[in-house]
Amino acid sequence: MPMDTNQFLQVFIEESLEAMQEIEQTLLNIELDDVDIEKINSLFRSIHSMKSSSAVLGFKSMSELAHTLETFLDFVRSNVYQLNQQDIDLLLEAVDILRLMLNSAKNNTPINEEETQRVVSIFKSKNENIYSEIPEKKKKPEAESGVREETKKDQKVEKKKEERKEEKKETPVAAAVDKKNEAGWRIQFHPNRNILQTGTDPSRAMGVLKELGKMEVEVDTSSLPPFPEFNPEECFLIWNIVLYTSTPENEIREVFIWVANDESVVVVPVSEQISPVKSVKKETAVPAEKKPAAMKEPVAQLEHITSVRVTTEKIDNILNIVGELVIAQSVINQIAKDFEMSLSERLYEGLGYLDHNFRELQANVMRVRMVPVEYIFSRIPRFIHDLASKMDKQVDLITKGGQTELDKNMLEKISDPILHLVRNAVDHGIERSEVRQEKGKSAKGIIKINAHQESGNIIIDVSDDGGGLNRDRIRAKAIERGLISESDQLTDEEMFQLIFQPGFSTAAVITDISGRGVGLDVVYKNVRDVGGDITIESVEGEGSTFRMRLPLTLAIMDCQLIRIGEETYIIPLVTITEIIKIDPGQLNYVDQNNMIYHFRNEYIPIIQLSLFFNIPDPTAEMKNKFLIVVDVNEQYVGLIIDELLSQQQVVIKNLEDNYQKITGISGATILGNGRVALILDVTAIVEYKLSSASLIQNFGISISDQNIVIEEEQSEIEDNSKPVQFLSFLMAGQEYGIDILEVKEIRKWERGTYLPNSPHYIKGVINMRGVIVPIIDLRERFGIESCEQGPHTAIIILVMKLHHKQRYIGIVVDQIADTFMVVPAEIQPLPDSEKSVLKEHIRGLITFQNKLITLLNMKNLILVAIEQENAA
Amino acid sequence: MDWQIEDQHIIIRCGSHLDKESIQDQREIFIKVLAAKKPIIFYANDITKVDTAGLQLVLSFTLAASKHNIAWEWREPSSVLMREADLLGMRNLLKLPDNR
Repeated sequence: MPMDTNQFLQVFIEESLEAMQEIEQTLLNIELDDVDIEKINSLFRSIHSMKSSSAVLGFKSMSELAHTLETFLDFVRSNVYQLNQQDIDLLLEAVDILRLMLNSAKNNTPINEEETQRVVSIFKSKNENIYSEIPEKKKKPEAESGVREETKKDQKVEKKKEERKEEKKETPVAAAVDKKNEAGWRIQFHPNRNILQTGTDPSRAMGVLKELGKMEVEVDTSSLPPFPEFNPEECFLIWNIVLYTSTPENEIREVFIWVANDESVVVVPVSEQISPVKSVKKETAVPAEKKPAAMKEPVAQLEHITSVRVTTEKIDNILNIVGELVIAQSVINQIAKDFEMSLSERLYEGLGYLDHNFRELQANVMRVRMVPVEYIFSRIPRFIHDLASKMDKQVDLITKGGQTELDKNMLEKISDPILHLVRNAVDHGIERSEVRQEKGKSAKGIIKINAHQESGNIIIDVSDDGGGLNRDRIRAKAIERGLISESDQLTDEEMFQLIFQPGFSTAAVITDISGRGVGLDVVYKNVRDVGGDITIESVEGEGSTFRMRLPLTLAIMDCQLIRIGEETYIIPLVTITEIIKIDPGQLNYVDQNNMIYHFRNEYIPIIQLSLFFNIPDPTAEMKNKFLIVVDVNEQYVGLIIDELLSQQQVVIKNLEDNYQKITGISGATILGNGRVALILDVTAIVEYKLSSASLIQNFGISISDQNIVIEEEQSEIEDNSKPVQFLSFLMAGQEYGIDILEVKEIRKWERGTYLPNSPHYIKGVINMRGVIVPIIDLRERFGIESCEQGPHTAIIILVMKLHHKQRYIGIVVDQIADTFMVVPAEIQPLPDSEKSVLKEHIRGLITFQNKLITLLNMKNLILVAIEQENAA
Repeated sequence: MDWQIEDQHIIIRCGSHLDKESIQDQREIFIKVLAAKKPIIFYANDITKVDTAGLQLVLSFTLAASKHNIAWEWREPSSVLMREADLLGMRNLLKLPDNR
């Protein structure tokens, strides 16, 4: 069975990255005044394993670096050398480089050879110095230590070995038989015939073996077919090796892990013999319980081939449900075959059963995507260690709730925000030791990170016992930056929220994260983008807590469908506290634009969503409407809707893929009838309504018809003599043309789902096979009087690139006309006298079949508008 | 790799690669060389890249040459070739010179 190199490579990379994580944790936890030798042994084994594997897979630089580290660690574990803090820092640096090399291998990008060699040189030099200071009699011979010692004296030892080999030149294997008293192994390596086609090479494994001790090799050519019948791409050779080393058997087998399966390698003590190949196969076919424990390791390692570790329990649950689905399907098939109306109840039962199982399956598959937050937490100790060292502070970290699970995609999105909050805590929160002691605090500051689940959300707190936030300084800065005025009265919470505004990200702070431009404003945005929110509690002098509330999953949500006007909208169930039919008697108008409602012995503010989104409301009667009470930042708010529809799970689609973020809308979904429904961002809606307008970005999108210069994508130089094909369409009696390469497809006109707070010419969004596509009424965009759709009205779906991202936009046209070829050189420019405000969107004029056709630059026409809206 | 007949010998200049990438072409050359039934001299000082596939091919060829009583020898084998042949236990079978 062919072995897939790529699969091995992926496994090697994933496991090595995990090993790097463990090595890093071990290094950070080493007590220098009482070094635990078992920890050093563990480090040695991990590095040794990586050295062998990387050598066999052809990663020379990685193997070289690992080799120098292995030598160094061998000195430490042998008590020849005592570790100090500088060594720990150097080892951590080496781990960073190994990690970078693994990622380079993963992404097939070049490594930084200079950095690698720098660290290799440092450790080589260290090793030489350590070795030179060891008293002669204490130096281990190479065969016993299993570690190649990189010193000049090795050359003398090597020379003596060569001299011994010289004597045994004729029968190396026979000579090995005489050395019964020497420690070592006999190895028979019989690789699979197609090993040469997998990219791995037996000679690399031999090279690694050679480093473990004195080796004698004999190749068995008995299986080689006669030349020229033999296929040189297949391997017909068997190797019999004698290796003199004290390296344990499992480490010998590890050398072959990438080039052989269990049956291909036989390892016995040197004092034993290995049978010829045919009988060896029988001998190795032993019952599983008799196999040495070490032989099971390679199988165990190969089980985890994915980047998300999944328990067998989760897999078993999914398989069970799939089995139930098969049953449900056969029940329905049976009913459908002999269907009569009398069977309809059974049909409903069967559909209900199917529905139940699909939901279960969905839930279980979602659970597979969940990974523990510990994945992020494990990165933090090293992060704090480096940061605290740089800032000359002492910081302890306490984490709790690492086993709390979060959707994998969510985890990736909040990883950087959490690290930034930690950085913030170390940088601005925790004081230096002497300052802390003056305040009566312990010299070491404490950062706590706590994760737990609560009502369909995950809560992550990042807190510190540092200096806390100074409300007065924040207020002064906010006034200085024009975010608030002198007269504004803000609660502590509102005041602290100001630090998430862009003006508060201080450029003077230089860290690994701020080098990528991540300030607290970006942390806020990232959290909001995943449907979460972030609040701050702080007491000056005592410390601060940043609390992130995040949905458990990004992809699927339990929702309430509602109607506002003629459209269906979605509200996430987790945001809903209660739904009540409005009692007009409990409604009070504070002023023309503001209402309150008497709910649970208090008055809560009300937002009428139809007014908020400028949706025509034919039914003004409140008594027929419903109130959805939501809890946002521990405040109840009521949202008035027209009708309550069903509850269901929805798959969340991103609106920004092809349009842009609309404040108040967190995404979209596709309903069972194929129409798009928008998902309301309840928190954003409420915050806008209740907070000072100056704190929140404008909801309104201003439209400008000013000429705008947009950056052009890099494009090939046009060949003006090469004909270009155009598609033409009619609009208000005029014919227009667009480059056919920009046309994705043409569809019959359909009413789009209304997009609140969008320009007048945006006619909503439609569903194009799961992709949410905004549509533009070109008549309105051109300032032409709009008209009712006719039988020929069509939507042309365009595809174009903006900022290296492919986007889809639909344009509504009166009728599709023709296709034709145009030589660009023949395109006439628009006359100078033409005063159209859309002049810059017109590519030129062409005459085709006695018709004057205006050729449009669709990219300018459509994407400029989006750019303007983004800038507003 | 290329070959020619000189003074009743076949000269095989191995080039820089004796590896998986070049084995099919080299196999074709070896078939022709065997058919010529003349003693063989390998010039191998330029070899910089060797792997198991390349050495297996050469080994198979030299074993076939032995069977047909065709002699061969090596001139200036590169250190890379020697090292790889050693690792794979082929030095003696290939009759590579022992210049340790």
